[in-house]
Amino acid sequence: MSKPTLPAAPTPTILPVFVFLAIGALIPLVLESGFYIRLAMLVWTYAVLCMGFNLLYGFAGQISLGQPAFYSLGAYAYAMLQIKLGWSPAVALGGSLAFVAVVSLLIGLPLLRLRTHYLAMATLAFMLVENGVANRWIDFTGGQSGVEVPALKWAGEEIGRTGIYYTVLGLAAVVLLLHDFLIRSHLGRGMQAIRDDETAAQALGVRVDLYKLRVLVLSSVMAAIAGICFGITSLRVDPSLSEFHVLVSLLTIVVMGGLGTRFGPIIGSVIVVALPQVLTGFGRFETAIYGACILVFLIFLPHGLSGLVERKFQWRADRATADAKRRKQVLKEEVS
Amino acid sequence: MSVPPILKVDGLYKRFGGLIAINNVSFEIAPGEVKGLIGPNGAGKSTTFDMITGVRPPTSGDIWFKAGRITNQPAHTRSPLGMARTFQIVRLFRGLSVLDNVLMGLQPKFPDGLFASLARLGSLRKQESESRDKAIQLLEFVGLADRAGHPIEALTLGQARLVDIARALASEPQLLMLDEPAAGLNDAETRNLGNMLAILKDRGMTMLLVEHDLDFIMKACDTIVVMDHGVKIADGSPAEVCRNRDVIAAYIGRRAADAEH
Ligand SMILES: Nc1ncnc2c1ncn2[C@@H]1O[C@H](COP(=O)(O)OP(=O)(O)O)[C@@H](O)[C@H]1O
Ligand SMILES: [Mg+2]
Repeated sequence: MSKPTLPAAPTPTILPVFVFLAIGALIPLVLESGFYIRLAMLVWTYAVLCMGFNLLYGFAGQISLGQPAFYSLGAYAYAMLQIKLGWSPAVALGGSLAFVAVVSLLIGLPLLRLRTHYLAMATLAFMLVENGVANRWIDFTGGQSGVEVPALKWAGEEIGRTGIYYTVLGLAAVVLLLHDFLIRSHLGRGMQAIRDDETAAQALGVRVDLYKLRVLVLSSVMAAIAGICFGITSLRVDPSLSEFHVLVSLLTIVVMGGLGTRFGPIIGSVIVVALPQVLTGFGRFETAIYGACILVFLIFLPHGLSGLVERKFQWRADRATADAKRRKQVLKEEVS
Repeated sequence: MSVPPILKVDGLYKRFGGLIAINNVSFEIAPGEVKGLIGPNGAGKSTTFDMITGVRPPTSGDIWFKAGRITNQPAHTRSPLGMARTFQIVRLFRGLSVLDNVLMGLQPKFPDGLFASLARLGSLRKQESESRDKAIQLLEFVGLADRAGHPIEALTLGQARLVDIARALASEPQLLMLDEPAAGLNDAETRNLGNMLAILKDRGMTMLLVEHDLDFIMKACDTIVVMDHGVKIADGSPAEVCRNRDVIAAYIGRRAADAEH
C-alpha cells in the first residue's frame, strides 16, 4: 500500500506582515504633514527595538534590561564610523551592527550560564556604564550635546523626509520579516522550549546556551538597527538614547502590545507613540502613566492587546486540530 | 554475548559530597531488550538515569552508547545520537501546544540557527509539514491526536505523560528511557501504558524503564537491574530477580528474606 500523500500543513499566514508593511508604505501618501511622518518613523523605530526584546524575553525567556544601551551604541557607532573613519552610510550600518553584535556576545558569554536575573542586572549595569561614557567622554562623544549623524544622500543630494521614512521602513521591514520568520519556524518553537523548560529542551537536543547567546546577539543587533533608525531620523545621537525612559517605553510597549506575540511590538508602539499626543496635558506624568498602564495590563491583560487578537493558542489549536482531521479524511479517502 | 550492547554502563560511581549515591554499578542493554531499573526510594535510580542522559556527570566510571564513549558528553548530544528520555516529573513546554511539544522531539533534524534556516528556506516548509504529519501520527499512537492543538494545561497527568512519550519517540530513538512512566497513573491508564510499551517492544524498541511499580515492571521487562543504597544487588530475568534473597530483603526486610528460605 502506498503511503497516502498528505496536503501541506497549514502554517499561520505571512499575510498580516504584508498588511502592516503596506499600511506603512501608504502613510507618506496619506499623511502629508511632517509631524505625522515623524511619529510614524518613531513607531517603526520603537517597533524594531521591541521586536528584539520580544524575541529575547517573550520567546526565549531571557531578560535584558540593557536594550537601550545597544540602541544607543548602534546609533553612536553608525555616526562615529562615518564621522571619524569616513565610512559610507551602508558600510557604517554593517560595521555598527557587527560592533554591537560583538559587544553583546562578550556580555552574554559569561552571563547566560547563570540564572535569568543576572542577565537582567548585568545588562542594566551595562546600560548605566554606557550612558555614563556617552555623557562624560566629552572629547569623543560630544557629551550632553551628542554627535551629529550625517544626513543620508542620494546622488549627492540629501534625501527628503519621505526618503528617510522609506529608509526607516525598509530597515523595519527586514526586522519584521526576520521576527516573524523566527516566530513561525522551528526556531521560535525552540526558543519557547528554552523559556518553558531548559532541562527538557536540552534532553531533546537543543543547545540551550548557544541558543540563548544567539538570541541575545540578535536582539541587540535589532536594538542597534532601531538606534540607527533614530539616528537617521533625528540626525543627532545623544546620551538620552540610553536613558531610563527608553527602557520604560520599551517595557510599556511590549506589555501593552503583548509579550511573546507576533504583532505585540508593532501594536504596542503605535499606542505608546500615539498616547502622549492624546495625553499632552499630562506632560510631566508621562512616565507615571506608562507605569500605571504596565500594571493594569500585567494584571488584566497579561498577553497584551495582540494576545487578545491572536488568542495565543486559538490559531495553533485550530490549525493542529484541522490537521489531524484532514489527515483522517485523506486516509479514509485513500482506503475507500 | 555476540551482539554488542547498545548501552553499556561500566563501574559507575557518583558521590554527592560525603554521600556515595552510586557505587560501582555496571550493566548492559542489548538491542531490542527492555530493561527495568528498580529499587527502593533513594536507591540511586534517578541518579543513574541522570548520568546516562548526561544531566549530571559521574564521579568516575564510563557510559558507552552504540560503541561510543559518552560519559562526559553534555545532555543535548543524546537526542541526535539516538537516545530519548522522559521525565519522572513531567516536563512539557507549557507555552506550546500539544502538537508543538511533540514537534520539539524533531528539533535536531531541523537546520540549526537563523542563517542555516534561511539558507534552506525552500525545503523548510516541506520539512515542517512532514514533521507535523509525523507528530500527529505519534499522537495517534498514544491516542491523543484530537488534543493536538490543545494547551498543556488542558491535559490530565496521564495524558501529559503520553505526550512526553510521544515527544521522546519523535526523534526515532534507538534507546528509549522512561523515568517512572506509571507514577501517578490510575489503573486504566497504567494498563494502557503497558499495552503501548508492549507494542513498542514488538516493534523492536530498546528501552530502559525506571519504576517502583513492581507488577508493572515484571510484565514489561525482559531483564531487571535491582539497586539498593547505590549498589546493584541483582541483574536478571524477572523470575530470577523475584527469587533473589537480597532483593526480597531490600523490598520487604531481612527477616522476610530469611523466612522464605
Ligand atoms: N543532588 C543531590 N545532592 C545530594 N544528594 C543527592 C542528590 N540527588 C540524589 N541524592 C541522593 O542520592 C541518593 C540516590 O537518590 P536517587 O537517585 O534520587 O534515588 P531513587 O531515584 O532511586 O529514589 C539518595 O540518597 C539521595 O538523597
Ligand atoms: Mg527517583
